[in-house]
Amino acid sequence: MQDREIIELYFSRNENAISETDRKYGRYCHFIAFGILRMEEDSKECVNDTYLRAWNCIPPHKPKKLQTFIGKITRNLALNRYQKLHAAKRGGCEIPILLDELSECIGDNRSSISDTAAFRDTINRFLSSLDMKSRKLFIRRYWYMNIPSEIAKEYGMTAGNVSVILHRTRQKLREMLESEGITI
Amino acid sequence: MNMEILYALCDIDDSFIEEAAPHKKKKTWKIWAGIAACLCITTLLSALFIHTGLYKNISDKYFTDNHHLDAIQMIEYNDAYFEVIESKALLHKVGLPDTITDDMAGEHIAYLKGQDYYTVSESPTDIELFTYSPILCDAVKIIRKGDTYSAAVFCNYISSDGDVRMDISELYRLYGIYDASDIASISKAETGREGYSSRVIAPAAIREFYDITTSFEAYSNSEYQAAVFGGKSEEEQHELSINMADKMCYLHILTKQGLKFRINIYPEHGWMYSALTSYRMSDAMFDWYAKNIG
Repeated sequence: MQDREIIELYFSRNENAISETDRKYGRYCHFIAFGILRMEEDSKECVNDTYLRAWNCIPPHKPKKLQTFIGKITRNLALNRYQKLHAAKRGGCEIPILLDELSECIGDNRSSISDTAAFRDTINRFLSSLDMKSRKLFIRRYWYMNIPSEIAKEYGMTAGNVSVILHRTRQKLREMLESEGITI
Repeated sequence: MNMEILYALCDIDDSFIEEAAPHKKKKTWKIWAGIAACLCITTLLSALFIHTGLYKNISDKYFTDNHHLDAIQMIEYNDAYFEVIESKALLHKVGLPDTITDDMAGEHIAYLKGQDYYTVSESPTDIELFTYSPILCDAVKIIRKGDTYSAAVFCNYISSDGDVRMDISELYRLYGIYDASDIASISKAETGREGYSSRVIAPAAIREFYDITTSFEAYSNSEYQAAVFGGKSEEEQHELSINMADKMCYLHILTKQGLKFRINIYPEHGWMYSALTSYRMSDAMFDWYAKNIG
């Protein structure tokens, strides 16, 4: 079913919208949630929560791209859930390592982003400036939160090679953030 | 640990997220197995058909129908969509009996044609639309398919330009509400939670609600989008819509005749919504909400 038709189901308050979303994007949402949570049960619950939130958002919101719209919801929900699990000292995942890596290029991870919109704009321009391979690896690592060995397997590279490219990309990001005076 | 950076990264451009999205792996053994199976079947069927002439009895439909196991049953009638409801849980949700029987079919309205998506047929067919005899209202119909009777419940109006604007009094009328005295109760439900968090049954409060809401101005979706999201970036729109969804509640309206429908309410953002139309909450509505149900 086309995204437009699925959105029409949401708009007509037809509950098949959920099953059609699940059929088309369930695996994608699970991929995102599992990348963050690394636990099957929590990931499944997170995907279900995604559908509820999508149901509550659409309408009145009419997403231009359904896939990324629900993908972003899943990612945010998974991060929220991670924080709760982390507080409860439960679950193992990649986030502490990711934050550690990002702190190399954006400074101390205890500080906060002073201007979110400017940061987002800079990140988008930074990503546009990258070659496609580096960009995909960066997004896979820091948006989908895949571990280097998973990325390597899918892209036919070694984990070491992925890590090297990611390291260089982070350096470029640091240079760009510094040159634009973005403080974090 | 500050995770703000990870949340901030969430709002990067959609195209980058799509570009790096995982793709379904091509399972080569399955492709080859499929090709082999197709060749075998084609050979066998060709031989069989040529010798028996069976091909005359097999239509394309046979091969395509199985792809629609979860088809949605919708009726397009009188510039509105109605959904055919067969599950007990859904029937209960709208205040209808668990089982729909032939005696609930009132006056004949139209013959229908189609499969899963029904439209009006000019000539008689075996699919018929009736009024719902126990309650005179426009929101509920009865559909007969052969010997089977089901309920069909109003979803929303269809507009040629895709933009619907319906006064709330029209919404009420669909469910047989012509006056405040036709409403039995107004209940508030939180999303994702069972049951109601509060309920209004006092006639004076219901009267006040009815009078306030029937004076609302209706906004079509494009008018609503402009009023709420106009001038905001894609990311801000996304953030706002998520925030609104998180704060959304439902007002369940129970009519004196037993029908139920709901209106979405965004009390922190000042909007109400039902059947593709939005309503901006007035100061009086904010007061009513805080006093009775908030």
